[in-house]
Amino acid sequence: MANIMLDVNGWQTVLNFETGEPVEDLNDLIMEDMMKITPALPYPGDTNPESVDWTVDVALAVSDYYNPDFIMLAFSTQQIIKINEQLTPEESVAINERIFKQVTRFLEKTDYEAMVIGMGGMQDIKGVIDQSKLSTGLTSTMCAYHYAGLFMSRENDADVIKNMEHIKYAITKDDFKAAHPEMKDAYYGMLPDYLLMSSDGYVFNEMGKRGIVHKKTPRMMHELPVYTTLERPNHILEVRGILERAMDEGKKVALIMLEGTGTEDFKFPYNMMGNQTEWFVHDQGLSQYLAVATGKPFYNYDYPPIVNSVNYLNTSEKYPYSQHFSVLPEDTIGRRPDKRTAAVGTRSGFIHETTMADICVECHSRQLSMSGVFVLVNDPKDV
Amino acid sequence: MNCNYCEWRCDLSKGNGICGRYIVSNGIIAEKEPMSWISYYFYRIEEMPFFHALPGAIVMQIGTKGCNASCDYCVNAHIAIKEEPGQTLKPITGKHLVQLAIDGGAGAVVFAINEVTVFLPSAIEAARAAHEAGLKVGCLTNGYLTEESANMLGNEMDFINISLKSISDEFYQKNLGLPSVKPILRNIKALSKLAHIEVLTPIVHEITHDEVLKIAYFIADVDENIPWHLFRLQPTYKRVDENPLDIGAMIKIVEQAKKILPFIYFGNFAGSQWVNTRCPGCGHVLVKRVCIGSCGSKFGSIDMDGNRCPKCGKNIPVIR
Ligand code: SF4
Repeated sequence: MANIMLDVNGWQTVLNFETGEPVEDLNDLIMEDMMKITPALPYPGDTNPESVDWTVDVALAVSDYYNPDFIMLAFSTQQIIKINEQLTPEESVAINERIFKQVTRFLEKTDYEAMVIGMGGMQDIKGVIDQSKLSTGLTSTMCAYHYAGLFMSRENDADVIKNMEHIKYAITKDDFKAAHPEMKDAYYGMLPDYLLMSSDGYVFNEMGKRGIVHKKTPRMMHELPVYTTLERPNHILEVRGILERAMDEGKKVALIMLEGTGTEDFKFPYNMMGNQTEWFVHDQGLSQYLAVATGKPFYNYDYPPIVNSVNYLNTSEKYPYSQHFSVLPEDTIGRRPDKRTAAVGTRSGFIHETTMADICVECHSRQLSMSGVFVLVNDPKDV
Repeated sequence: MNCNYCEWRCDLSKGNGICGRYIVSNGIIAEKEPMSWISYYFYRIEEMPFFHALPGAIVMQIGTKGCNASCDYCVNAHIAIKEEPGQTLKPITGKHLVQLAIDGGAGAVVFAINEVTVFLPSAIEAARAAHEAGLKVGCLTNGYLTEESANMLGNEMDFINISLKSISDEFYQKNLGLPSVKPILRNIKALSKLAHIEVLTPIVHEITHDEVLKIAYFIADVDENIPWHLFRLQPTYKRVDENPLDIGAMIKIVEQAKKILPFIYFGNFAGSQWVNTRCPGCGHVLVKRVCIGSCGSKFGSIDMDGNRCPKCGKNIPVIR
């Protein structure tokens, strides 16, 4: 059985992962130990640069305790800060350098083989997509910056979409199905009538941001920089296989995901790997985490890139503390039964929702407001 | 010429009022940007929070910018208090808003995000359009309205969440920039007769054990069935460097206050076990919720027989 623990500034509660119900009789040694570890590691906050160091502090604590064969470290602080704050050029350089310094600290203190992926740089927003001629509002989320969906479409929307500026690609639900007949029924059911992809740097979501003015937006990256001491991936979907083969050879592997870091900021020697499957370019964030954790293309996930917020809100009964998914991926690197796995970092929710590692430690934040530290202990191997 | 929407009663002939959202136009007080909105999005009603109105309903949350108070722990300071460059409102008519709400699956429109008093005429216009289409309408307010405005609001809204941040004038003056709590206390009484109301109190360090109990007694005196939300605030805005509040100590106070008010909730932190609605008669869990923190309580399930507890038959004040 899997349990989660929430540590809100030292106040701790343990809950059943699937139901969210309190666990009365905790018979979970690993969780008991995690409850001793987290109070010393309070999360500094989404826009606090110290959260970069926190990721490594937590990763080292989990490595010391559990000695995982696979560990993912997710650094989102740079992206979050650059979206929400106007940085000086010096501050911008400093946050990126801090990340590489901390990654180096982790690699020097441990014996992991590394796969470090720059998930993409940041840029000024080039413009906002004008959606005023559509019959209803587009749905977009912070999980997919260049994507939006039109649900409840009406007859003339097809023509409007054809003529909308800065739309790089648009596909109807039926065309999507025809192209990917193997997708799950639930995936098809959740697809919007039209899925739209904007041109690089153009954003959709102006009305859903509670008035927060974004300062930057992620670049659309057709290729990503990657540094590794392992076999070199040519494509993001090859990452999982390479890490698994290395573990088969008895190596310990660390997958290090750097949000907000593109080629211009990448401080280690790197090669480029593909970040696109057919027309779909993995946006910085969720789809990239799913790509590396599952090794599968976007149409084989449990959710499409954009879901109707109503569907999403209606499916929250299972795994209620997982912020995005109520169906979790079954086949991930973190679920590998013969290896110990862990995932830590500052990207709330995505870390456990994509890896499903034995131990996940992440911040628990919503809308930049920090609610503590989230720990998942998920079917661990004997310590 | 004075604006009479809130108790500041600003003289607008001398320029901007405190909130900056009204002007004198053709001899009348008018909104600077009528029917213009900063944001709309869809949430479960529990996130507003409303716990005794339409449990589990999807609502369209909508708002503008500006406020007539200046709380030093405002969680929406980027809209309410600070003018951010590039922050623009978008004109959307009442009819179009309602269509967007229905397309989004909403059963209600809720004016939240910022203080409804600073866009009251637009809120009323949109509320009427929503009611005409069969949607329910609610809002959040700090309660610092004039009697006339409170009356208008109460007549147009189905449910209202009023923030009562303290019971003392001194707290209001020091931390919110408002001269007195008295108009708010007056309006809670008045609004409770016109609409379904819930009360919310953000808990910060200055709110003592005694004060929590005093607020509970005040609410109970108005109507003991009013749901009361105690919100544990994570230090924010001007208080960002403060130590976070001790949840364990608050729990003890909440348990004591429960003896005064039957429907008391303590949340805004992940994992709270004080967000379910229990029958005050037999303790049966009527509405299950999970608290994911940062205003997020998720609806789980409801076990009620109409408006009655299925176990003991007690009448429970919940708008279904
Ligand atoms: S609503 Fe605004 S302008 Fe009118 S009295 Fe209040 S603060 Fe002054």
